[in-house]
Amino acid sequence: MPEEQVGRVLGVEPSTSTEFRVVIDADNYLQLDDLVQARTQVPKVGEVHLYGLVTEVAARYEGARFESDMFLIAEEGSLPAELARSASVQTIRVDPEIWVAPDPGEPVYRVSGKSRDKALYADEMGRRLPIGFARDGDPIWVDLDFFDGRKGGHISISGVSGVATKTSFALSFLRSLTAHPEVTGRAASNVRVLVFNVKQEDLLWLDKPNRGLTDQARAQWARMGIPSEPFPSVSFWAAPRSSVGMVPDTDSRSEGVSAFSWTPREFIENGLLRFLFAETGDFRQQLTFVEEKVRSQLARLAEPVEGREGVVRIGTRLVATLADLVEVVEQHVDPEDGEPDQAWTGRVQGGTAQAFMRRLRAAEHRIGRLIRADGRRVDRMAEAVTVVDLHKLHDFAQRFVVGALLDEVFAGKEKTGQRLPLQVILLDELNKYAPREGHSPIKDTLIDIAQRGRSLGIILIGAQQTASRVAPEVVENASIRVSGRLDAAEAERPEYGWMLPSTRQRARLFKPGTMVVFQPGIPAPLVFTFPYPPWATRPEEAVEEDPFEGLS
Amino acid sequence: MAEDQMWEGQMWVEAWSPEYGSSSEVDGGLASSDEEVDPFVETTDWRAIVPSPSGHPAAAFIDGVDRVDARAFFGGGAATSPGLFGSVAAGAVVVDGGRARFETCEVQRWSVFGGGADPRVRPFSSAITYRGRSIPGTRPEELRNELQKSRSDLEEDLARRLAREGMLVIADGPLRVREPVNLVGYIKSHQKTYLSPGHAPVALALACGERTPIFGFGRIRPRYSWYTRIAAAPNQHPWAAIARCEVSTTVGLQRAIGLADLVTHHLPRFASKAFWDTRAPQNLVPIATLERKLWSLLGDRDLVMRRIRSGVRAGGRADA
Repeated sequence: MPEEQVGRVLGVEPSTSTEFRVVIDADNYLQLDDLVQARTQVPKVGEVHLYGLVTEVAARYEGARFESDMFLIAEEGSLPAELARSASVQTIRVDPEIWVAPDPGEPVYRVSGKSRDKALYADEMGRRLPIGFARDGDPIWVDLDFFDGRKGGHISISGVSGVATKTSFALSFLRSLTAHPEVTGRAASNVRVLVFNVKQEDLLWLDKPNRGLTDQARAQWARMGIPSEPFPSVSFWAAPRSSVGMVPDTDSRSEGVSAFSWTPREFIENGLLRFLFAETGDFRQQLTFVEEKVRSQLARLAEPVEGREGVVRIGTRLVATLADLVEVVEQHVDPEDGEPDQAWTGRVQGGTAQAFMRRLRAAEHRIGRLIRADGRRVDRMAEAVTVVDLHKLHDFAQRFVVGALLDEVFAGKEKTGQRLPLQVILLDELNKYAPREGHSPIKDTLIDIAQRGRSLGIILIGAQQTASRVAPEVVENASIRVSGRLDAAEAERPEYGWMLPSTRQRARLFKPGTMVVFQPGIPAPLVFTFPYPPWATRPEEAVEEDPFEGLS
Repeated sequence: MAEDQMWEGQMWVEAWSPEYGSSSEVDGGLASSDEEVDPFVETTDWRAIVPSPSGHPAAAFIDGVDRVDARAFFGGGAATSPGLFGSVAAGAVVVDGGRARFETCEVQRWSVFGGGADPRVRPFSSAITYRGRSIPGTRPEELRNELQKSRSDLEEDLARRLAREGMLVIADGPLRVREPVNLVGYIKSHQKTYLSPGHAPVALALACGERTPIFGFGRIRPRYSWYTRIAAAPNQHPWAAIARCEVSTTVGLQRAIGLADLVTHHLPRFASKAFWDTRAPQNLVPIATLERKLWSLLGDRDLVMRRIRSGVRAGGRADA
C-alpha cells in the first residue's frame, strides 16, 4: 500500500520527543485516535521513525485576529485567511530507540500495514488476539501473554452500567479467545469460562443466533477470524425454583437450563458457612469469629451416612437440609435452655451469638433451596462456557453462590496444581464482591485470585461501574484494563491513570460498543469498537431452531 | 454637538494611530495641488453621484512592502561605498465568489550599493539570495529609493499581469501604469487636494458609497480621479473615511466612469473598522491583511540580519 502523507511536523512551537503537532495537508484529514508516523533525520544515526497517536485535532483561520473576522472571511469575503488544521500527537514508539523530537517540517504519514503493526507494537506481540477495530477500520489486538498468565493476567473492565457494554465486550473477547486456537495454543483449546449472569436473563441466550446480526457485523467478525455464530459450547445453571424438585428458577428460558445446589455434606466439608457471613460489616460485628468456630465444629462432628450420599449425621441428628443444620447449630450457639457452648461460640457476648443465629435463620429462608440432599453442583467442566444465573437471587444468596463457586475454583486449582485448562471467571459488580473497604471471605478469595491466579491458571475478567470502589489489589493486578463510558468524575480518579488526558475527557462520551484498552505492551490507551454480537442477548433476539426442520 | 462643551468650534481625534501620521495633512485645510486640474471632465454639474448597484466583479487588491535588512559598506583602500541589503515583497488578494484568497505573493531581496560599486554578492544560502543593484549616488535616501523602486516594479508587474487577465485590480497608492486596463489606484491619505474651494465641500458632504464627479490631472501621467466616502464617519475629521481613486486616461472617459461607479459601490464593503485596524477605515481589509502576510514573508528580521552577517564574513559563499 503506498504510504499516505497527511501533513508535516509543526514547528511554530517546539516539538518534543513525547508530543508534537502536525499541520494537516489541505486535501487530507486526521481524527482522534489515528495512528501516524513521523520520520526525522538524526545526525550520526540516520532516519528515526516516531509513531504516535492523535490525541486532539484543531482548526483555525490563520490571519484572523478578531472573532468577528469570521464574518469578514466567510460571509463578506473581504478578509483572506488560511485555514490551518492541525493534530496533536502523543508519541507511543520510537524506532530505532533514539528519543529525539521530530524536526519541524518533516513529513508525517498515516500508518498502514507494517508501519501500523509497528505503531501498535504488534510486531513484538508474542500471541496477538484481535479484540475489535480501531477507528481506521483495521483490527487491534491484545497480547495474550498478558492475559493467560505468561507475562501477566486478568482483565479489569470499567464503565457505566447499560452503556459501557462491559459484559458484551468480555464475551466478545472470550469468543475471540475460543475461536483462535492457533493463537492461544493448547491452553485455549480447552479453556473453561465461568460467567455469572447478574442482570436480567441477558446471558441465557449465548448459544442462540442473534436475528439482529447485520451483514456489516458479520463481515467484521469474519475480519477478526471468528465465525459469526453463537457460542458453540455453553451450559446454563440457575437456582432451583423451590426446595422440592430441581426445576430451574428462570423466566424466559427453561430448556437447556439446569438447577444447581449443594448437599449439606458439601456445605460442611467445603466450609460454605463462611459465605453466609460475607458482608463487610460482619467482620466488625465479630460474626465471622463465631462463624469460624461453628464451621470447625461442624467439620469435626459431621459424619457421613451410609446409603444417603449428601446427608450427614451430627451427633444423633440427621442433617438433610439447611433447616436441619440451623437447628443443630442453634442447640449449641443459642440453646433455649442453658448457656451457649463456648466451643461453638468462643467468649463472645450473648448478643453476638444471637445475632449470628438471626442471620443463620434468615439464610435458611433465602438459600434453603440451594442446600439439599439431592444436590447437584455446577459442572464447570462439561462445556467451555458455564453461565450461572444469579439475577433472581437475593443479594445475600448471590454472595453465597459467587463465594462458594469462586472458592471451589480456587481450591480445585490449588489442589491439582495444574495451570491448564485455564479457568476464566467473568464477574460483574466487583465493587460488591471485592469492595475497597472492609473484609469479607469473597474479597479474600478474589484478592487471592488476582494475586496468585496467574500461576494457578485462574484468570479473572472483572467488571465494575467504578474501579475506584474496588479493592486496589484486584484492579492493580489486572494487566489489561478496559473501559467503556465513564462518569465524568470517575474518569478523573487515579485508577484511570493509564488513560491520556484526552481519553479521560472523551470517556464520558463513548457510545455503547466503543471502549478503550490499555495493555502493558503498548504505552498508550487505544480506543476501539467491537462488533455486534452474533449471539442473542434477549429472548426476542434469539433465533429458535425449527424442531421440525428437515422432517417435512 | 454637546450644549455645554468648553470650546467653540469642532474638535476631532485622528482616527489613525499616531505612528502613521494623519490621514489628511491638515494645515489650515489641505494644500492645493500644483497640478493643473480639470474638474469638468465628467460633468459641470458638481454634485455627489450615487452609483447604481452592480454585481460583485472578481477583484484583486495589490500591495507591497519593503524593508532594509541591513546597511553595509563596500570598498578597498580609502574609498568606501555605502550600501544596503533589503527585502521587498508584493502580492495580491483576489476576491471572487464571496471568498478572499491570497495570490502570488513574491519576495525579492536586493543589495543596493552606491558610487557605482558592484560587489556582485552571491547567494548566502539556498533560502536567502540577494541580487545586486548599483546606483551612482551615495546618499542614504537614494539607496532607499532604489529599494522602493524595486518594490513598486514588483507591484506594477503583478498589477499589470492580473489586469491583463481581465480582473479589476485595485492597487495601493498612486498609479504608474499607463495601459488601458481595469486598474484603479487607491489613495487612502490626503496630502493635497485636487479640488477648488468651491468643489471641496461636495467631497466632504459625500455619504458612504457616493463619489464626486471625475476630474482629470497629470501632465506626465494623465489620470482620471474621484473622491469617494467608504464609511460613515460621524464625529471625525471631515476628510476621514474619504479616499481618492484614479485610473489612467488611456482607458477612456466612459470606461473610467464605469470603473468609478463600480469601485465606489463596492469599496465600503472592504472598509476596516476602528478596532480592527489602526488606519481604519481607509486601510481596506484585504490590503491590511495582505500587508501583514507580506511582512511575515520577509522573514524574521534578526534571523535575516544574522544570515547577512555570516554570509558577508564568509565572503558571500553560498550556505555559509
